[in-house]
Formats: sequence, structure tokens, C-alpha cells
Amino acid sequence: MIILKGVNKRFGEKRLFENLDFHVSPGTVNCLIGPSGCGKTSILNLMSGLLPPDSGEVISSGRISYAFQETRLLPWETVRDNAMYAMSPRLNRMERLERTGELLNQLELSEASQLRPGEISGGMARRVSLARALLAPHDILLMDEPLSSLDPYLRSGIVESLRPMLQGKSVVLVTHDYVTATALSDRVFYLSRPPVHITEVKKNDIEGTLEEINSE
Amino acid sequence: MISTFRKRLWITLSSLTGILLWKIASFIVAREIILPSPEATLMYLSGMFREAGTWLAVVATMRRVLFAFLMNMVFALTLGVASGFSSGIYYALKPLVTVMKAVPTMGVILLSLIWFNSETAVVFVCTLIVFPVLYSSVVSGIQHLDNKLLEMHRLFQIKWPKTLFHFVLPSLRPYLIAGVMSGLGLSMKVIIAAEVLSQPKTGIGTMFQIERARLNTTGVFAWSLLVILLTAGMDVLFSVVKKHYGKRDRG
Repeated sequence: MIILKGVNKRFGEKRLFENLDFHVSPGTVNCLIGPSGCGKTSILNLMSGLLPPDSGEVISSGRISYAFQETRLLPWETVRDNAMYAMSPRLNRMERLERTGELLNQLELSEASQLRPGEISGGMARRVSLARALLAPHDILLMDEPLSSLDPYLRSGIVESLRPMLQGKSVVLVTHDYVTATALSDRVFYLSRPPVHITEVKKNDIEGTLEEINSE
Repeated sequence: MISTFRKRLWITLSSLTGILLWKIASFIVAREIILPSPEATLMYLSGMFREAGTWLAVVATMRRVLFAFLMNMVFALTLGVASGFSSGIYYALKPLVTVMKAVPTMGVILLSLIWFNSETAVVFVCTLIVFPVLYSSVVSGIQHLDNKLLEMHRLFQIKWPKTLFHFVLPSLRPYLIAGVMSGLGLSMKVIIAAEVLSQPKTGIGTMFQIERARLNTTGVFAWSLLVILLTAGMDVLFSVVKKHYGKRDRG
């Protein structure tokens, strides 16, 4: 569970969040959509504790895992070692290797497992970051555009693999993509331009709202 | 960027020009005792290679250089990482490091000769002169760690030994390689200078002093040339290491 209570955050003169309230219910997948620069990544950073609010409260119960948009992979480690980097050291090595191999296969990364981040595309690097977040022990999962820059065919395949993995988890997902938003999320929220207001989008309105955002 | 061929061409041309100027100068001076010619120096050097004493001296000096250098490296890494992460330790060590940087080499050599035997004095002098160079490289590397990767480690609650060996030390690699390249060269110079004055049983510095006492300038030149060759060899070795890791570390 994550609760943002009366959160204020400014970047210089820009007021990003003003008295913002938001609540992530346990066991739900929540999707955030909104125009570029509206603060979607900042809200994930607030939730993860990476970005402290100027005032207000961020309450989270449980361990957080995060699939970063800017990947944050170690350049000298292989794809496989990056993916298994945050796994619990309590698991034995065989078990860790087995789970990692399985997930890399589901995310279509098996062939790249011995390559280094400098040798793979941006889209692949984001999936490695997603694999690391999924394999890390967590109660809450934050994902920032994990499947962007993928062709629609590959994306829908990976979304299908991800769906059972996310079931019953507390997830906050940022995306611009209709398939990802509708297939994975229980609830979809729209973030307005700063100062941000969050409103829930009805299932029927998701496509129209996303088209509007993407055409801007 | 300049091609490898052109790079080598320029290096060869400048080396040949240097040798030519040396030859002209020795021709004008025309006294071996003041300035020996390049060919006389090379002849002497090739003669040195056939003597066991030369190799014993080289091995003794290299052993001191490596021992002092490795010891410095361990100190510099330990204290550098601690200082990089704790401003308290950084400021506590600052006066000491400033003194070590500023202290005149000759003063340290003379004092260490009073305090220690010749073997210990050589290593002590090297530590005092080379440690600040390596320490500064490590601190600078820690200060330039990728903050986003550091945040990632905090978020995933990665334990510190893993953070140290998988993130901090590999991030320091370019700084360490640069530190090793300049530090080893400096260690070599300082150790030989200390040997000249402290006169251990054997060593390159001892050989320099013997040649000087015999007024054998050609010998001094030949030993200098040998030291240049040894340093250049180490430079080539670390350039290969740097090239190997460079691409990987940039990602």
C-alpha cells in the first residue's frame, strides 16, 4: 500500500505537485497516463523514496521494487547478471539462475543474456531493468514505461507473459500504450499538466484519452 | 581522431629527432665524460645486459617498487573509499595528505636515512611521495560515482560487500588505471632517487652512484636509458589493460 497525503513539490519556479493526494490499494495494478513532463516519473520517484517531498507525507508499507525508465544497469555486468542483481541472497545460486533464465526467456531476452548493456538496444535495456525489478524481493512494484520502444507484436506477447506475474501485486505502472494500460491495469489514472491533478479514467475512455495525449 | 599509424609515425619521428639532437650535441661537446654519444651509450647498455649484476640490480629495484606500490595501493584504496563516503574522514586526513604532497622529496629521503636502515628508508620515501597521488585518484573516483546507480543500490537494499565489489570498485577502475600508470612511474623515480642516497646493497640507484663515483657518464646514461625502457614497458602493459576495460566500463 502507498499513500500520498497533501504532497507538495516544486522544481525551481515550477510547482509540480500541490497538496496532492493519491492512494494505491493493496493487490491492485494502477496505471498512470498523462502528457509528457506532467510528473509521472516524479510521482514514482516520490513513492520509491528517491525524491523527497517539500512537504506532505508519503506512506508505504512493504519493500519497493522499481523498473526505471533510464534503466540504471551496471555497464560492466552482463544482461543476466544485471537481471539477477537485486535477487534475494537467501536463494541458492542454482535457483537464482533458473528463475532468471525463465524470466529472460519470457521477456525475449534469452539470446542477449551474455551481452552487456552497451551492446543492446534501449528497449532491451528497459526490459532488463524490468526483469531486475520483478526478480527483486518486493511488496510494491513501480514500473516506468517498461515496454516502450517495442514493436506491437513483441509488446503484446510480453504483456501476456506479464499479466499473471502482476496478479495480486500492488503495482504502479506508467505507460503511453493502450494495450499495456488495458491488459495489465485494474485502474487507470490521468495526470494533468502541473500542478498535477489525478483523476480516474473509465475503461471506455482510456483509448480516447491516450490518443489525445499521444497526439500532443 | 588520429589513426594508430599516424600516432606511431609521430612517436617514431619525435624519438628519432631526440636521438639526432643528442648526437649533434655530443658531437659539438666532443667529450664522453660530459655528454656521451647515443651509440656509445647503446654499446655500454648492451654490455650491461650480459652482466648478472645488472639484472640483480633491476630485480632488487623492481621488487622495492612493486612492494611499495602495492602497499600504497592498499592504503590508498582503503582510506580513499572511506574518505569518499565520509566527509569526516576526508577532512581528518586532509592536513596529513596536504603535508605529504608538499614535503620536499630530498628532505624526506635525508630524514628517513637518519631514522631507518637503507631498505626501509627507500620504501618509506616512496610511500610518502606516491600515496597522495593514488589516494587523490581514489577519492576523485568515489566523488564521481554515478548517483543514479548509487540510488538503485539503496532502493534495492543491496548489501555493502556486493555494492563495493560489483559497483564501487569497477566504477573506480578508470581512476585506478590512471593512478597506477602515473603512480608506478613516480614510484620508480622516487625509489631510484632514494637508492642513490641510501645505497642499499644492490639496486639501480646504487649502480647510478657507482658509475658517478667512477666518473663514467656513459654508464649513468646507459642506466637512465634502461630505466626509461622499463617505465615504457610498464606503460605499454597498462595501456593494454586500459584498452581492455575501457570499452566495457563505458557501457
